[in-house]
Amino acid sequence: MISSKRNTTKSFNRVRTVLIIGMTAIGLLLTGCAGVNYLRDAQSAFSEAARLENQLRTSSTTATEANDLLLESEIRAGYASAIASIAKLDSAQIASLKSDKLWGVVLTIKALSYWRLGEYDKMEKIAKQAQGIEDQVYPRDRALLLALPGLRRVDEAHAIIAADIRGKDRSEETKIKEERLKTVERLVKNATAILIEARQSVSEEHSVRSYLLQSELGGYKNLLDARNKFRTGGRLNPAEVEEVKQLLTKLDCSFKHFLKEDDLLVARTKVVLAWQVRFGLVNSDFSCRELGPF
Amino acid sequence: MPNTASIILFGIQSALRLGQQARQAYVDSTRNRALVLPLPNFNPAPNAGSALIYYADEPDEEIPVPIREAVGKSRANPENPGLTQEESRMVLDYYNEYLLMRSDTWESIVPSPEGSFLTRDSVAAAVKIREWDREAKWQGVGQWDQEGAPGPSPLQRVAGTIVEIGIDYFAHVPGAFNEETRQGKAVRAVLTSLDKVEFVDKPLGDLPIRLFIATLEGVAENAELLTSDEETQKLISVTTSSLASEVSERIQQLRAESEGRTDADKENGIIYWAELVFRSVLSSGGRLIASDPKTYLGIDNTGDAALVTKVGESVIDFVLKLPEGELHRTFGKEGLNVVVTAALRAVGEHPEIIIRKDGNGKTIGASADGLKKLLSDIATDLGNMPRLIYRPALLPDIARLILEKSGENITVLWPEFSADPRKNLLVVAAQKTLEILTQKLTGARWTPQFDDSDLVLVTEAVLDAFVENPGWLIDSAGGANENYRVALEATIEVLRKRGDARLSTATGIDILRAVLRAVALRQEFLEDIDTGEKLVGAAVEAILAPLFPEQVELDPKAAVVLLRREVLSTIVDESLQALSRADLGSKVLRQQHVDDLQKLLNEHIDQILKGKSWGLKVFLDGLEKALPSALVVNP
Repeated sequence: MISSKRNTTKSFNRVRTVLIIGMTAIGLLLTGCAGVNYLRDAQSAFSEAARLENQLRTSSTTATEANDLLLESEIRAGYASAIASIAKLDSAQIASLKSDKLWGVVLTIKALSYWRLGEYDKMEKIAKQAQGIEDQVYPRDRALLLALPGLRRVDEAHAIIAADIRGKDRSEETKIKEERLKTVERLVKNATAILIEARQSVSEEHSVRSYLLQSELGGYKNLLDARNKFRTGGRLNPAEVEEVKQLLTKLDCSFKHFLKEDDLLVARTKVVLAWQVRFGLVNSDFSCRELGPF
Repeated sequence: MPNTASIILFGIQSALRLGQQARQAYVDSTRNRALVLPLPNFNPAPNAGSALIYYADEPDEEIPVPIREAVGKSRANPENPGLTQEESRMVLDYYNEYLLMRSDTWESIVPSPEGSFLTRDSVAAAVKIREWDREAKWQGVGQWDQEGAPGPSPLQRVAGTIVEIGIDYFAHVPGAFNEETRQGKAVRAVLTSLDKVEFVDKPLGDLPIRLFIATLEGVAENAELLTSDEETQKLISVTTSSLASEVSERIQQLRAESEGRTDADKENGIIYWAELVFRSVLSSGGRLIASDPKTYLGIDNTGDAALVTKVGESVIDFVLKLPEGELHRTFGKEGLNVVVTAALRAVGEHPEIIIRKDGNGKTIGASADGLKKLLSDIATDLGNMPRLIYRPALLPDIARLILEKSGENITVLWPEFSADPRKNLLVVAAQKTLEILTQKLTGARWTPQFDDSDLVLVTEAVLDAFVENPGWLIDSAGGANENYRVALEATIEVLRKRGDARLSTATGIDILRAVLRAVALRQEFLEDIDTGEKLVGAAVEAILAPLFPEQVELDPKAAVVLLRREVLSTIVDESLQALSRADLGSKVLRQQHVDDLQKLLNEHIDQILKGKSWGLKVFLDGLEKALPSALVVNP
């Protein structure tokens, strides 16, 4: 009876020892993941800022100007936080991330954050660094890095439209408007070409296509705004409208590739329709036929 | 069983393998971790360009008329159509409103931060009202000829303003606006009626707004009168549509007479009076109509021919016929209420004034011609009397009297309600009475200042005389003869000659009324006595001469007793009544009675001066002896 009890106690102690050793080993290994943790922090900060920014841009609810300003500063803080998390990486952690082939992800987040903060030089510098590590850049990030110059041009076009026009007289203002319109047209044209290239770098099934398609549509919306602002009542010409229509159909196809059921329905009824409204194409049907019925 | 060391080593190996796997999984998940991607900068709101893309492919007939030209320019040159800011704004407005009207896009455009309470229907209604408002403004600049403009109805043109007023009103009135309340139902009634007016392009000015406000205020102020929702709605409904039609027709007629020119003052005047009539019908007429809604509101099923509407039309006619100037300016709501109430009462008691029936007694229609003619005559004949111009309160009361008295003997006094071109006898009588009473004579001893109520009292007495004894006041042709004028003038002449400051205006009125009552009883009062005077004048003279002697004043001892209003009025009235019962068959007899009467007055003055006991009874006893009743009285 006593012997049996002693044996049981021994077995228990062994198991406990193994568990302690195992946990210690895992803990030690995960301690080497600090760099990945910083990256994850950066990803989280970036995604949250992007979510807020998209909400601010597309929400139908009317917010006050003060709320918008608060939100904007929160968004900028989010992107800055993403960059700050990456900046915490020491050389060992950087080496570890490179060894884990995560360096491309790091650079992509950093470049995207600089883009959103309007620090285009830094954005380009980081994007160039990424070109040197092709083996560490994966399809989504590759497409985004390719798209960045195009995304920048879309932003620049928007900034031109939003800027005040101050000429000494009406004719000078008209001249300024025409010059600005030409600049916007050139920027949007370049942006479109770049975004198409980026889009073509991924398969049709890849979800990043829907983002790139919407970015192209954003460029066209800026072109529409510029025409309307700089030439009262100006709009897209029929060829440009046709291009927008094709983009809308492609957007629908893109959603259809990677979304199912309710998610697809929401994407179509909210996202595609919102773009239709922006371009005055609410009465047209942009359902993706090539992938069969909805 | 493995030893402890083996277990430890196994544990370490397992942990390492496990750790590597876990780390790799951690790295993989980080690499593949989904990112939310921010879209580049753009303005998500549609602009006029978006709207023009939308309208570019729409068929022309689907494009709102006000923006067709802008869409045409955009089609011709999409990138640079050269629109004005206004055109651009309007195009965008239409597009936004189109989006608001669509079930799948309206949520994308919320018009206010408080938009959460809006229903799709309310948004659609607001949009529709704004659309009408714009179309009305756009039509105002004359883009289309009169036939071609597919524009909003008169109600739609002012719908925006009505909504603003409604919001403002109900924001300050306890309780939220509810269609089920009396006010809600009343508002619906007035708006529905206005919307039914078929004169889409016809002028109504701001009448719809005025009637809307009048309804809100009228229902609130007269809750106790407007007791039934159904009747109130019907009253508002029939009056609204009738007045709208009336105003529209009158303004058109006015423009036609001016060869198309617009006289804003006159048109606004028509609208102003229509509003007052509407208010008056709601307030003054409410009680009458509530007492007998079937009569007032239900001549036929359409309601168009309701008595109340005919009265409304007629009263508008009345006020518009008032001569321009002081009277027109000062004739206000109170006066209108008097006329409306009297007219409603008259037609309520005698619907035949309005309703036309065939030989079998079946209603074949309604006409306000007779009522219009009567009121029109009152307005023109009495309104043009110079001495009545500054008496705006008098006219409504005279109109009321004429309407009331006409109803009391309608077959004689107002035999043909519409066809007879002659004036209503009572209008003529009232006019003449007022003329006599307000005549200014120089050198008269008695110069009373008749106020409005005095004039009304005497006029009423004259009209009563017509009602009670039309036979001798109406000539063979059916017109008013001169008898009542003769009686009045004869009496007035005596009063002016005999009376002095001690004869109060009120006593003078009593005497005039007594005379009119008497002459209504005996036609002989208007016949001559021996001296060639009329009996009526001579009789009054016989009474007043001893009381107001020409050279000296009546002794104060007698004056204090006999010149008191109640005493003097009774003496005159009873004396004339006694005369009316006496034998007046010849000039001699009439002269004799006049002499007897004067003698009696002198005797009683003597009695008082001698300090003998005196009272009215003493006088009446003496009167009975002096003027005994004949066998035949009241022929």
